[in-house]
Amino acid sequence: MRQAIKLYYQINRRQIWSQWLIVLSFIILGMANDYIQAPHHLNFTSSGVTGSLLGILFFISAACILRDKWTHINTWLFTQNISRGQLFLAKVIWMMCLPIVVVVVIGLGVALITHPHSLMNEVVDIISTVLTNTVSLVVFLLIISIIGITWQRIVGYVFVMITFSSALAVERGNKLAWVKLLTDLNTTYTNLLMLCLIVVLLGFTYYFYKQMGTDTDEEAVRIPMLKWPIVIFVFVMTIVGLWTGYSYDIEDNWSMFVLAAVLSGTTYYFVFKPTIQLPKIFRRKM
Amino acid sequence: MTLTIANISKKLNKKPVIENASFQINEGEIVGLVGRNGAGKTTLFRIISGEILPDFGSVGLDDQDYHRMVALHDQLFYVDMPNNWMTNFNSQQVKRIVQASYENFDTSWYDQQITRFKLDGRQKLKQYSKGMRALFTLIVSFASNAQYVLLDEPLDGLDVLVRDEVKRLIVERVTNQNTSVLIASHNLVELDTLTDRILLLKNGTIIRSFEVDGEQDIKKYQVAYRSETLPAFLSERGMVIAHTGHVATVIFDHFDEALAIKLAGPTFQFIEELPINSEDIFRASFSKDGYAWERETEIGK
Repeated sequence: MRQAIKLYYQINRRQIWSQWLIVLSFIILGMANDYIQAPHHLNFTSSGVTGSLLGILFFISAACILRDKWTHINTWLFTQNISRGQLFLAKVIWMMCLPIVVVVVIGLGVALITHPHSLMNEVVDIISTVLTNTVSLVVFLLIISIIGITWQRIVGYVFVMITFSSALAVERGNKLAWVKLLTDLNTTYTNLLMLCLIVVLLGFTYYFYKQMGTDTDEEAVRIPMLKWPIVIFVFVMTIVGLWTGYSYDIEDNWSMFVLAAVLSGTTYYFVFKPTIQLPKIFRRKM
Repeated sequence: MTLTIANISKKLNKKPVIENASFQINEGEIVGLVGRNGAGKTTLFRIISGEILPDFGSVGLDDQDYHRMVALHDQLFYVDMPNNWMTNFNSQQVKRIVQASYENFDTSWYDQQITRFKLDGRQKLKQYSKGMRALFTLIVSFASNAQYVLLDEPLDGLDVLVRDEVKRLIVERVTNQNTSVLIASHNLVELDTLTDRILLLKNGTIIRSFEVDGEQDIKKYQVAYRSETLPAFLSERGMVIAHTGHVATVIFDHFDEALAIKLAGPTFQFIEELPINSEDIFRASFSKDGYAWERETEIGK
């Protein structure tokens, strides 16, 4: 494992250091800006700082992980004296765990300076922010372990994030049992739930990553048994997203079924690559 | 130490690319791997190195499963020649990275060669010429001090001087370090002078392993025939590689007594056996493909 961590660091040394440089500049610029606006009163909130920093860091992490494919780094690392599982964990440590640790330390520092009397509340806020951001990075990791083509990875991630956030939309959520259940949970349970989700998603990603070879790099879906489930997932999530997030009603709005059919049809096309032939009569005319 | 490839099979996009390929490479051997375009040479390299996993079969290093025992992976070095991860780094960065992976990395030899060929500097490898990149890849491969080095078309597109340097480097490292090298190449003339033996890959499997001098089964003849047209059995049993007037040069695979009697018959004015090289063996092994192709072209006309 140490070898995997060392090797991944050596390869991505520039990216990792530039991440930290960005964090440092962000903190200095933010503090300077705040100081200029109100020299005697810092406006920083610990969760605000944590959320912004983690957002930036995770964005860079995601870009680095995507870059590993097109710079052929994965290809070479697969042949080295580290297993695929160790390589995945090394990526998680450098690109997810380390940013979390650093950002949490910064967040706690800000909380100590700005709200020393309500430190416990600040800590809970920081944890919630970290978990929310981490869920989105883990979803990204899962998607890139299943989907091979870069643009489809990005589209897939955007689709999942949009549909899931719509499915959990609060305005309509009052009518839906699962959203009501989630919104009624107190912060501790929500955090626990998110932690469990992170662990489960990471477990699946680790499992998929261990079976990966570069021969499936240009496949829409790298794991054959997931081809149909993904097409069905797109159909179901489109309907669920529209139904809960927007003012669509199943009874009198068929357009969402049309949209779901179009999206899942498009997914089917990219996943199964069917050969489409015009009927003979049209082909002759052309 | 022996690298054993046992019954490797792999399908890509549902099409079999490698089917039941088996061979061994011993310490200090230079082995050539030849096959027609798309025969699966690069895929075989990618499987051996662990870049892609086989559907069936195993790669063993001294009775240990190479793919499962990741600790053994610093005993083998392989990078795709034209587009590999190194192109995004300069020579010093590559050294640092490969050093982290290969604990026996020969730093002094690497520095010596890099200075000698003026490959040092802050320039990224993608800014090097094709020849410089090939030379650099070769230097890194041998500096890793891996027991097995896989080279995919290392002489492709290089000028004569660089080619000579590359060949000299390979021979020097094999002699001094007892490294084993597997070279995939289309350039059979180069392989003749470089390799101990050659493996022939056809339809995804190794159909022949030969030493050029030791191949008794293949014969090359120049014949002058009396008939108006080329005797049919020449192109049916062999591969006609040259044909001018009534004189033809033919390579026969599986040369046997029956064939020798036919050649000694009255159809021919004279016959002469010519020395064979690996190109002839390659042609003989693919004579049926060549004959089928000739027939197709004739039918097309």
